[in-house]
Amino acid sequence: MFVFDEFVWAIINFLIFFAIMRIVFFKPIMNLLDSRRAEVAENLQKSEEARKEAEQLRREYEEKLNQAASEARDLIERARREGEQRREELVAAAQEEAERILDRARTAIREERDRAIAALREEVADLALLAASKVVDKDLTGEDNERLVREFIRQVEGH
Amino acid sequence: MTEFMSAAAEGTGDHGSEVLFTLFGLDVTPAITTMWAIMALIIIFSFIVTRTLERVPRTRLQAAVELIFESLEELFKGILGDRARGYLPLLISFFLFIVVSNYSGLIPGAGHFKGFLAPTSRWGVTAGLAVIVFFSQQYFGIKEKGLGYFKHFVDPPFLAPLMLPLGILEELVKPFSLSLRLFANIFGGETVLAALLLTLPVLVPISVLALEVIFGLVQAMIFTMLAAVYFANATAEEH
Repeated sequence: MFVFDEFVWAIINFLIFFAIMRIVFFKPIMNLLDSRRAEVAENLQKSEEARKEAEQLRREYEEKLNQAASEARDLIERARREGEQRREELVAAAQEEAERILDRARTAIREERDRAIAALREEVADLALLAASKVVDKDLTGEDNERLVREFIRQVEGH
Repeated sequence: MTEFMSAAAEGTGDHGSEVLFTLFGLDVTPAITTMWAIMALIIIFSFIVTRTLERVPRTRLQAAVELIFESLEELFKGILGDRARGYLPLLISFFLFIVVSNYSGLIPGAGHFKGFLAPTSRWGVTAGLAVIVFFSQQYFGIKEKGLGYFKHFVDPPFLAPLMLPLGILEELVKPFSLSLRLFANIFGGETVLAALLLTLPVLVPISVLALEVIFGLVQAMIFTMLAAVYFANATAEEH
């Protein structure tokens, strides 16, 4: 059953077979699989890095966007406040102006009225003098008349 | 019964031991010529496959070869862990050679044509393989652990005088069990098959043939997995 020469041949054959297989088969296939595994691992790592980078960029942009939005809100708020203030100022100035115009108008009216009264008084005095002279048909001296009329008018005003 | 036996004898015959010629002072038997043929086939096939290897497999052949290689790699990683890598070429070489050898015995004409006999149906051949496993194991053990490898022969130390002979015996028994298991299974299977073919030529041999196809693979697996276990034990950090 046991043939010694077969035993020796088997050892020699297998060792040669193994040596050739290492070169012809195992080296290429293991190199290929190793390099492919390394490549896959590298690609996975790269994609993970890219993902992280994208994530960070996204965060940055979001932050910037938020910042811009809040800046815009601030700007609008400030503009609104300024507008409000300006409006109030304008209104206040207008009111002041109106007040001033009114004042001036009142003063003018008062002066005008005073002047009118004074003029009227003159007129009445003259008329009264004229009427009195007609009544007495006697020409009083100018000065006496005038004095009398003025006293009369004062009395009238006194009532 | 005698007819059966003679048929069996005729089937596998004892012509397995016939000397075809002598080379370097060593007798060349049919098992050896078949071994050469198998080795040449595997090498040529490997050569063809690896010539056309591409990073992205495009041929079914490459995909299939990668699938087989990676399945075996996973299998041995299960036994050897991450150290498996260094042992893969040897283990896979064993597996490929044994599985093709086992199947060569199932080809009609094996054992009948001159110079064609399944190598693994010869004890001499399986013993040769087992001895390679034996020495590889010692080599890997010493390489990994230095002289510490021999510690397991005398463990526990106070039982050293008792354990040393047992340990050595245990190591020496391994190649015997390894080679006898493979040889006996293949030789037995082929004998049964040959006998059945001669006595009951229809249908029955087909079922046995189907079983032998499974056994051929299983025996190759057992041989290489046991070898892997031996390597794993020899190189393990702690026993």
